[in-house]
Amino acid sequence: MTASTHTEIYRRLKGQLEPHPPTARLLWRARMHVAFKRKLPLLVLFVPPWISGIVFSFVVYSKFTLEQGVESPLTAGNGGPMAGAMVGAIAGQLIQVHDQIVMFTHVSRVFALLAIAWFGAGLVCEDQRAGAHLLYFSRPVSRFAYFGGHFLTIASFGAIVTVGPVLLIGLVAVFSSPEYSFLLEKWDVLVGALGYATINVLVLSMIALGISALSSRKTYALAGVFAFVLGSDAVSGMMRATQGESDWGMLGVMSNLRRIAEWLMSANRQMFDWNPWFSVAILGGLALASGLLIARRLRRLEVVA
Amino acid sequence: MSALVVADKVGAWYGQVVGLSELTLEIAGGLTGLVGPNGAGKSTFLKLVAGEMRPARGSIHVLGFAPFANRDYFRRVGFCPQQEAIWDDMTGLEAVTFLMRLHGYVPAEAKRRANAALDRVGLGDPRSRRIEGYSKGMRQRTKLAQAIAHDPELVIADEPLNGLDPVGRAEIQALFAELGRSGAHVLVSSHVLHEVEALTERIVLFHRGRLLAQGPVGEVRKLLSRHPRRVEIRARDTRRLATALIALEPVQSVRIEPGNRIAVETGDVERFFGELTGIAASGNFGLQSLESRDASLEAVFDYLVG
Repeated sequence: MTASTHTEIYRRLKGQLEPHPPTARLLWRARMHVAFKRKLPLLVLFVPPWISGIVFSFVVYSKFTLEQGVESPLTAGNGGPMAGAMVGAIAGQLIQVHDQIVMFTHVSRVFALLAIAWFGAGLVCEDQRAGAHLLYFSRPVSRFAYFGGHFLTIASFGAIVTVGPVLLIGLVAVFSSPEYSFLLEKWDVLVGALGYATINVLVLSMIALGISALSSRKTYALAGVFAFVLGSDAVSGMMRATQGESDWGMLGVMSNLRRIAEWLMSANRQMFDWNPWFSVAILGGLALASGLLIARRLRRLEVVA
Repeated sequence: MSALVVADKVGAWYGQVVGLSELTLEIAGGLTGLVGPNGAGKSTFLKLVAGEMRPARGSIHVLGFAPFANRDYFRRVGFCPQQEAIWDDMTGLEAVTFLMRLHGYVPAEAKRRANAALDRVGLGDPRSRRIEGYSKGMRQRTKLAQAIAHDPELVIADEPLNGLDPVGRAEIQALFAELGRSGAHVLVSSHVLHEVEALTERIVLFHRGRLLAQGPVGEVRKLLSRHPRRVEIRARDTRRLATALIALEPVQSVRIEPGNRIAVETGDVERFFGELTGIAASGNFGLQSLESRDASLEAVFDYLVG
């Protein structure tokens, strides 16, 4: 049906309109802009992982250069028996650097959890509490774009504390290794580390958003994220200790992330030896369940007063 | 002229709670007030009109569009929700500019429109401060600014005068009147009846999710023939006047009240006024004033909801 009213005398839409405004990106930029206004959380949550990254980078750098002298053994030009020994030394360094990166990824899990929980826990629930979703959804913003904008926000903060420092360490390793040997010999570790950091951020972001969508306040969501992630690991640790079976580790979110890290970076398995695809399936299922939960809650935002 | 809003047997529920029940109505263009107590269904109806909610039953069309999730429709509508809604960490200008960007305006145009809208609602210097430091009135003005910044054809405002001081109230009422004069349709809800009455003659009354009455306040009142109308008379000699009034046929009851006032209930107000004129002319009662209590929306609503 059509309605003709007296609107004809009213001002029609003027100015330049983007036919399909990138609403998810706009939302992401606005949320980031707002988050960067509060300096203390940024300082507390971003400085430690980056200091750790710098420290690990320095350790990596020192493995390649300071222990061997600034000049690369391969470029020193000495052949014969010395060359074999030097190649062996470099191989040892590569392994040590590999271990450093794996160690950093283990540390970065905690940083990622803290950053993602802090910046992500309030996104959906605070919108809902304040009614801000009413402002979004009375505009050309789809629910998918709303989710996308929030997910990009939370994932960006996770990436800043995980992917960023891993990239830094990787770059230092590549450029300080003789003849870029780390890139040539251990490229799979770099890819694995970046892949793991991405999975870490994706999974934790989905969990945090899911719990945020379920909560009525940021504080509850924050407590919920920590309770879920750390609680699951506490239970898995308890079960492992009492049952003496490492497979109980599959109950813990962080344990599964660790298992995937070890797998992707071909690290020595210290605690867990179950099939890593189980962890992929578990974490994938969690992310999927969170996604469904978020979709359901966003659908219900239609009818939340 | 077709109706602005056409609702046909619309139902909406919040779980087990009825938001609207079998609502069928048409609202013509212009400035219309939605009135009803809390929980009457005003906000639910406005959310349906704003496209925030999908009706569980029936259908609703606004400006010829089915509103829910309709991008073309959203560009033509501005919604000022009842809730706080605005982000504390942003400044007023940032918030309105951001929301204009979501409409698709390029940054410079979005900012220009945001500034113009904030000027219109009277939010001056505070627009550059964070919203967390705003008073309730300032927040309300910011919400209104985001609803009108894109020059919508229809402005939907849910309890827009909440938290405003009398001066602010008058300013926003003037803004709605100006919007109406400039050709925009305005739907305003309030549970404070005199606020709506000051804004518009045309009202829609909601109660418990149902349409109670609709139309000009006076006409709505006329429909209520089964209810007696109340008239308040001030006079010097109330006792004598009350004795004279009780003898009139159209008068159903007379009550003497403090302050030299007499409250009269009559089933036929026009006849009563005619006969009262005769009494006033014949007797020396010191008649001072005459006021129909039913002229106020409050009284109409009291009648309607019992």
